[in-house]
Amino acid sequence: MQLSTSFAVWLTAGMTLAIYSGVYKENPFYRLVEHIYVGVSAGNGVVATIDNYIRPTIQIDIAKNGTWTYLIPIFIGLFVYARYSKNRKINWLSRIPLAFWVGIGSAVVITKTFKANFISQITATFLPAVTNDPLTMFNNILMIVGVISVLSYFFFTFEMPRPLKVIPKFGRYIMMIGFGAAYGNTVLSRISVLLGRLQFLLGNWLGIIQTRV
Amino acid sequence: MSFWHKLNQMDSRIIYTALLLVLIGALIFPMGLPINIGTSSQAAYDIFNHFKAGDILYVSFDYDAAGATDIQSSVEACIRLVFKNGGRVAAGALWPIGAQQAEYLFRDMLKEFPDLVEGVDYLNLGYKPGGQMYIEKAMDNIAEACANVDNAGRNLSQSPIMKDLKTLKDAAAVICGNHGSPGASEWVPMYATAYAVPNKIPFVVCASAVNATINAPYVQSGQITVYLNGIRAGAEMEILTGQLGTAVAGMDAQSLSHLLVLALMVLGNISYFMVKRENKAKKEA
Amino acid sequence: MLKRYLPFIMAVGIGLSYIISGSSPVISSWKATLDKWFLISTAFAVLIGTASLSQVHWRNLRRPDRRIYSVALGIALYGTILLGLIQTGRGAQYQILYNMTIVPLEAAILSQIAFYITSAAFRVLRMRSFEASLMLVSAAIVMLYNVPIGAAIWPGFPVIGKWLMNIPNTAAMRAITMGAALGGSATAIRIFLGLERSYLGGGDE
Repeated sequence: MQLSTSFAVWLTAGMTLAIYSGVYKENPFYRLVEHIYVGVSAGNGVVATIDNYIRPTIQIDIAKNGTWTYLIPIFIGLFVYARYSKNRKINWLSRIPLAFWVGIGSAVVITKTFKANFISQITATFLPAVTNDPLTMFNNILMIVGVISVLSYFFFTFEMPRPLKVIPKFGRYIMMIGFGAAYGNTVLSRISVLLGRLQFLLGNWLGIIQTRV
Repeated sequence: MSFWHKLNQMDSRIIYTALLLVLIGALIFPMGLPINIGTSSQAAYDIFNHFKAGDILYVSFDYDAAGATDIQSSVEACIRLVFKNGGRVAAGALWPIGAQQAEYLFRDMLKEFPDLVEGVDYLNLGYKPGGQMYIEKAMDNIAEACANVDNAGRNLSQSPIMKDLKTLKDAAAVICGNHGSPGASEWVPMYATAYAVPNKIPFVVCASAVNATINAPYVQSGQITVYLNGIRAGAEMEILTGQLGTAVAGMDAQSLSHLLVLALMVLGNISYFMVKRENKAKKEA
Repeated sequence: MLKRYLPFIMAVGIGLSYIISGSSPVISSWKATLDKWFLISTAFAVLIGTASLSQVHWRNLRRPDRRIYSVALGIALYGTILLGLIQTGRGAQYQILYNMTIVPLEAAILSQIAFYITSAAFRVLRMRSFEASLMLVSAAIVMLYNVPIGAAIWPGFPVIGKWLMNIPNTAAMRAITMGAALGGSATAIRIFLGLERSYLGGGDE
């Protein structure tokens, strides 16, 4: 065991343990560290955007290259802060950037997202229902029936006739399998994040394990 | 109160302690369970092991420090193969912290490949806001999408690699390290469906396991060429590339913790049914 | 009149022109311009999150039990922004702040879920019905598929686990994705037809 002599490692370990102390019982150290994290994280997002986009746009694109048309989107972006004004003649201006973003966003949904998430998915669903291999045939039929039955589960326009109610019921079963798979994968993912922190605490801080195999 | 009632109402902190003990025990005393290589990892290895010298790989670091444990190992392994074959790497990020993850990765790569030159063999373009609209703009003009600067604030025209990477279409392959949104769900419509699939360009997603279920339809439809799922894929890629790291080191702990979760599921259900039986017997008595 | 109709006309006009210019090689430069303008405008709106956070925690300053936490958040938030403005994100002190707070704490906060998920396995995943049992069995098999010990216990677990992920799970998630895509597209069309105006809710008329 070789304890770290770095102040930064000790401070980081202390803050990590403060977060984990909140799992056992809510306490002031946990809340304090959590609030500090939220503040630094939000600040980092602002700094990253200023460094990587705002500053170069102003310094290079506008000041150096003379692309003055970029002032239009700059003002569109700045109008969003008009919502904080109590003056009715000004605060409506915050609708302009929203309209701009929603207009473009809606166009992208129709031109790109619909094709990827609907058209391509339909093409991929309707696989050959008759093949030489019985297992492939079963899988293909199950895929087609599964997708249709889950889609029918979300059909609320009118009540399904009684003989057809078995279809959305089967869709529920398929969805439950999907949610179970989601849980199983979430366990792998979240435990690996915890493992990463434990590897830091046991390796970098306490020196009990090697951090790299 | 019967034993089963007490078990049913067991304090959660006992469960938390059990999880910690299992994980710490497995990290200190690893068992060395064999890790079988899956078809996805093998496919990713085959793609990047045959990467042509001079070709450019674009990597989008769409994850943060929390996702790095799941994702960084597989991304690193793929990039290692590209550098080994003389390929070049350009890194972007749709998440603010992703740019820093790229910095860490390139810093580690320089220890293995000290002859790599920034701006020539690799470049960190940095975080760019806009999510899917960044991808859309980068399909047309990467320099404009990046506001003409890289992560270090240098003009992109100073980097020779950008002469061969005018748009995302110039990349020989794209990797998306995906921990949430924006990520694979933005890359699929804007890049994979629009360009990669019709032009047979590999689009690889290295994602944290929590995204596996929601991305599964894209894998089956071929919109995602290869899907590397979480730390398990990271461990497999580490084995394939011969550079064992934290992913392999953590797999024994993963195995034991999963067994603990399964045991708790079984125990929870047994206690549920026993309590139900006891309550029914009390009612009838 | 202007306040009510200008944003709506803008949304519809820009959206439709985006679609038309995207499909026409002659005027495709307008789409490229709109793409760039979108990126710039969203970048300059970056402080909206900071403003909202500040608003909430400014109110908390009046509450003695929450005051110290809100003060800590304010110092962390504005201190980080100030340091970043002076040094940029690449500065030495900024990097120290970044490496000591964001990197470890982000992972630590997310990893708390590991504890709750383990506790949920004991308390929540009960075989109360056939559907719940399906979910439980599916979760168990996928968990054993994901880790090496699954294959060590029985070679069938990886096979069944892979099948579960590739067929039933894909079918379920595909249908959900398609449903969401249909809903999104319907909303987009409603926006262009002027039937959906909830996005214009900011500010007074």
